[in-house]
Amino acid sequence: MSKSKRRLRKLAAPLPLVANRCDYEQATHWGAYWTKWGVLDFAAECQPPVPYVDLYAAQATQTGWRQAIIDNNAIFVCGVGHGNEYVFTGQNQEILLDVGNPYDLTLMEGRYGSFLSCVFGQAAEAFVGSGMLGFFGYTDTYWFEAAVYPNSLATPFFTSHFTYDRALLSGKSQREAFDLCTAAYNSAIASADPGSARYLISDRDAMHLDARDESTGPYKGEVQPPPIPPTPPSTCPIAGATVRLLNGLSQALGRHVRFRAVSLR
Amino acid sequence: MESLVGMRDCAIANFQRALSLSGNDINRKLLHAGPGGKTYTPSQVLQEMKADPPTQEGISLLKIWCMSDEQVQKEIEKARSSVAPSRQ
Repeated sequence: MSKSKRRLRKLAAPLPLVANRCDYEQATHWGAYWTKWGVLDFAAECQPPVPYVDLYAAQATQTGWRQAIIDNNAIFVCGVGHGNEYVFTGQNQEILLDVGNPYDLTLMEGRYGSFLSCVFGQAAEAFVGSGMLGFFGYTDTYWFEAAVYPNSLATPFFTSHFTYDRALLSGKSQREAFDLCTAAYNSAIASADPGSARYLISDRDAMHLDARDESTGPYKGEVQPPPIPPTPPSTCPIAGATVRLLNGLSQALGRHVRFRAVSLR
Repeated sequence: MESLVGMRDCAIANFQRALSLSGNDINRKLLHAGPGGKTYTPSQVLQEMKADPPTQEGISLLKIWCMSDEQVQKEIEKARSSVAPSRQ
């Protein structure tokens, strides 16, 4: 590549990120505040600023998530949402990513992700195995303490977690970001009282990074735009409602059975 | 599951001791990012640890509180030395 072309690419605007900021009960209410602080405010301050799509509250739906990623060809997806070993969710627990859904695996191809969600880190291998470039999450329940909204006791938990996202936005590799995040948790543990330290230790030990190449990052050096994914499959609205009902029942019964609507197309 | 029964007694004892040391601070809520989005008060943390069958969150809490005070202190010391190695 000629020198002038290389310079042009370096000056090109960074590829956008998409953030899930669902906000419908206490945990996500705190998470939404801290995701704005941890990711969006920081992205705006980067030089050059990193463009972002903020899926706040009612916008954090499956349709909104998929559309935002495709329309903006986002290189990095992140945010906070309830989860388990199979799914990462948005507003009112609407599924945004499902490890059992082939479309979601395709959607993540060529992208990087950071998920502040319980247990969803267990899905990392499947996503990276299907072409995702990197996946950071937690393999166990993510705990945080809280007192007076929005900070107080919660601060060390969220500032530690978002060290990862901020490091990536600063052009660090995934490995560098992971190490900085570990150091941030250690710093928080070092100054915490023993009661809080237990939860911070648990969160730190549940951190999980799976990557095609840990030396890469979404804003490190020259980045290839992700491939354009196919149009999302359409779902029959009646089938969608039935599936939501079945999944709600399954959850209420404490069963790990998931139902999914399948496109008739 | 059987190993959880063994964990339960020590976890509950550790939690109750910590709670008495912190003056039963009822403003200290515990939240998680798993399904349900429950907010736990100290008494609900105890209930969760006693739940039978144990939930995912209950198992996680048992693991956290089963750690002895000495183990936690060791982790804090390790974290301190990793934060400021030059001062050691």
